[in-house]
Amino acid sequence: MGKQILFVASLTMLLVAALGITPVVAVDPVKIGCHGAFTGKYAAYGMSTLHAVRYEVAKKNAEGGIKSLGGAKIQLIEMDNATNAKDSVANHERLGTNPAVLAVIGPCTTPMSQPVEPIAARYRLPTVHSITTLDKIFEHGNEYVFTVSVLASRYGATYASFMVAMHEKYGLTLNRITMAYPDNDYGISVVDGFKKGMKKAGFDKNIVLDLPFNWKSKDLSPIVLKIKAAKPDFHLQVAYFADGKLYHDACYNLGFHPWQVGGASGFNHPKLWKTLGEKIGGATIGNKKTFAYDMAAFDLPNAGRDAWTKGFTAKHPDITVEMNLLLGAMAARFVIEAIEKAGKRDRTAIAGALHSLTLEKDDPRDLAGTYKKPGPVWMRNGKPNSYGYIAQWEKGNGRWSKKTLFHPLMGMLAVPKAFR
Amino acid sequence: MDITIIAQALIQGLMLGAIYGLIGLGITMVYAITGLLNFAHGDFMAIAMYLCLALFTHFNMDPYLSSLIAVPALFVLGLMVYHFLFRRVLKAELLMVVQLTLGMVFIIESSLLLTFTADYESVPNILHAVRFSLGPLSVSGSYLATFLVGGGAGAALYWVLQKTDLGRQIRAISQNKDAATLMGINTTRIQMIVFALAIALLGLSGSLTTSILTMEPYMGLELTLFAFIVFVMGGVGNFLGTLVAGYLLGIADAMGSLFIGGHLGAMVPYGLFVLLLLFRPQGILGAK
Amino acid sequence: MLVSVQDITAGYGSVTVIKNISLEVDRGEWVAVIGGNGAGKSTLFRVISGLVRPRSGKIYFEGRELTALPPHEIVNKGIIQVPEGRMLFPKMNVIDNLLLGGRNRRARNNVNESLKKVYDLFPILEKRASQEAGTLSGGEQQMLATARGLMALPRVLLLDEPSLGLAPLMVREIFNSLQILNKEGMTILMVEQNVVVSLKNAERAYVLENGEIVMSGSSKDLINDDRTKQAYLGI
Repeated sequence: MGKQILFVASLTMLLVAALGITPVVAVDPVKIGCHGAFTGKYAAYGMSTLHAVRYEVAKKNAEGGIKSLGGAKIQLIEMDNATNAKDSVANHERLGTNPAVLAVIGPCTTPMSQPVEPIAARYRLPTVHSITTLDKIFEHGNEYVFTVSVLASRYGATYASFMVAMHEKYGLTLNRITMAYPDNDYGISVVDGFKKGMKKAGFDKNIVLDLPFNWKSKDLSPIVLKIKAAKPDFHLQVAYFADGKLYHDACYNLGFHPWQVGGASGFNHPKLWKTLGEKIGGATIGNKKTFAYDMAAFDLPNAGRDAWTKGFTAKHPDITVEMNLLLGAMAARFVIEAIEKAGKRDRTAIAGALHSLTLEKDDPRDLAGTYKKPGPVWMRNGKPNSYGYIAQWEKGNGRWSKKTLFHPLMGMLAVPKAFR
Repeated sequence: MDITIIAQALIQGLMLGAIYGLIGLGITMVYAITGLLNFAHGDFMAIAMYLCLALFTHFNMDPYLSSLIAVPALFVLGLMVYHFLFRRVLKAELLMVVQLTLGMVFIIESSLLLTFTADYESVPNILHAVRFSLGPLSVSGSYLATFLVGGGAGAALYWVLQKTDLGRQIRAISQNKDAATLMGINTTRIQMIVFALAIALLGLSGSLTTSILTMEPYMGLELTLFAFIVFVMGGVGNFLGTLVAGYLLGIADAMGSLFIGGHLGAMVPYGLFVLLLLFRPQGILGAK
Repeated sequence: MLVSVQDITAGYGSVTVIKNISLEVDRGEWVAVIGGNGAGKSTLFRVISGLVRPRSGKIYFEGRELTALPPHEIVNKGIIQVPEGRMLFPKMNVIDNLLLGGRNRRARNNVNESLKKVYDLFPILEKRASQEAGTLSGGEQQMLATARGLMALPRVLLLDEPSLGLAPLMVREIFNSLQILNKEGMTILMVEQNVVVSLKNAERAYVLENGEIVMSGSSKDLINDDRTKQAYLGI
């Protein structure tokens, strides 16, 4: 009998040695879902998130995995929703019903994120969105949804505090304020934030034009005519890319160039220059009275971002580091950190850990540089405590680039073109 | 409201309407001659616009210049699509045609997506930053060019239809295909030419509007929808009616967003369409 | 033989309309195919014109096979059909209808002379030249249909029910014109329900019943034949 045991044992040892497997009790991997629009209309956003998440997971695994779980490696479950809300729901459902999945990063954009909110609640599945901006998703008391992107209402708050700062610092009159926005959830959320901000500063009575428009419109001339007729001191234009382009075309055509601030893509997207052409672009978005909302401030120093960029670029020299990539990385980092912090394979504990994450002053984890620091990452209900920037297009060396001017928490960072 | 504002919006509406009419003309042509509807209609315009984008990106070519390439290219594409696909469903059930052309929609849109990504694009042309003013009113050069060329193309098409042998053949086929065949008209050939001409017309519309419309790979179906509305409003198969309906739709669009605004304002053109169907189902210029 | 139809079988879908039909027309002849409604007369014409492909059988024109040619090529050879119900282009004016008739390869260089000729034959059409075809009276429409056929410079004219729906006076007028044409050398193949008129004008006739030829011969013989008398002339 003893001989037999010895034989089997030595045979096993031999086999193990031959196969190169170390006879340590293997720890089950930690499964994280990552789903989003990897193909289809929003593929650019989805792939940015995915690249960043893959990078962060690989980095963590190379550093020895989740230490509080015995060095468990992270296994990423990737699912494509093809920019389709139905598929997004199905993906979330499948991840939710798999008990081994502890958290999900994505789906990244608002239209794909909105329908999965109840699923996250039902399965108590911590879900961290990267590029999702809609306030509504985070207003149902759901403890399991988070976003790292600046919320739409905070865009509005940023516009408001910028206008007020321009009034206080440079004496711009704010007797007649106008605003035009797409009449969808996003546009309305932005304008709500703006109105609240203006009310706080006592300027809400000066809003003389509240103009929602159809964002799928093929021509915004009638909208611009109405704004022009309202003779604004300062105008707010909430704009996506396509309607933003139409807005600038109409403004140029009708010779209307007010003091204005607008965004996001319709004012800050680098492609606008190619789209509008130098002449119109120079007269509209490049105008000294025009300001653009921007989520990133790549011209401001940020040690955390620079370090991350260095590491990422070494691995992926062909991928340009932009805002969406940074947000994806932050979402992944926060999820990994929360699992580490929770120390157990329990979704509720991980959600709790996410809620308790905080940022220090000059925290290098704030890759976007938009957060209020020191402070918690999320205020409540997974709403991030962050604001975007206001920037202005400037021409230098024959090229247009954005100069960051203002952040609600930091105030004026540079002097606007018109006052230099 | 100030009268100049209304006048200005009216001008914009007319300009936009010219585009709608131009897009609708192709649908009308294809329907008149084959009795079929092409759901991939708008997608061919998207192809033309992306062709202009590619020519602009690689050779810095002005879209107006690109039309010299886009129009013949789309004509040839139209010949091929007709010969290899459309011809085969001419006698098939309507549903087959819908399936075939919707299938084309998905193929074209996916191909554009793979080639050009989903980013919004737009290509300025030489007239884009030129403004023409008349007193307090002004109009952008690229809009005016579209308006004039669109009207010109409509007039040219009308002339071809009324005054030339080709036009007489087209009208003959649209009125009685069998009788046309008995006149010795090669109906297959004429159908192919007209189908290709309709696609070529989209090549023209596409090149003209690269600076006005923002392109994205999925834009085609929406354009098709507009084309269908214009086509029905004009009085199914009526060329002149299609152009007039285009202008009406453009003006309704502008007035809707000027006086009502928002989603409700955007519904004005569709409301007009429904009203017209209720009270004049044969279309603006259609016969009873 | 100018036209030789050999053993043609044709139909639509699963229905066979004409079975093993053979007939011949010589140059300058006027031949009628008579038979009741649904006998397959129009299908026979559609096959000759190439609008319907036969299941079997062949058609020869001047000894050359026509069966595989597309319809417009058959027209180019000079085989011109004036279809049943006239099939005018109702929203085009008279002149456009006539011009369309004269646009085949053989006729196109002769349009002005042809036009003069059909106006001589049917003076009323010249008066109606700019009127829409759909607004003409029934008789005028039949004249236009015939004239449109003549514009094509037919070498053989296929007339499908030229008397259909016309008043007797108008029928006489049309057939007078056809007589003139035939005397000038025009070959005519005609299908008709009106047996009396047919046999009075044509030299020879075929009798079509349920898609098959049941009798044929010279008009004189047929008019005196007891079977024809009973079945078609009601004598």
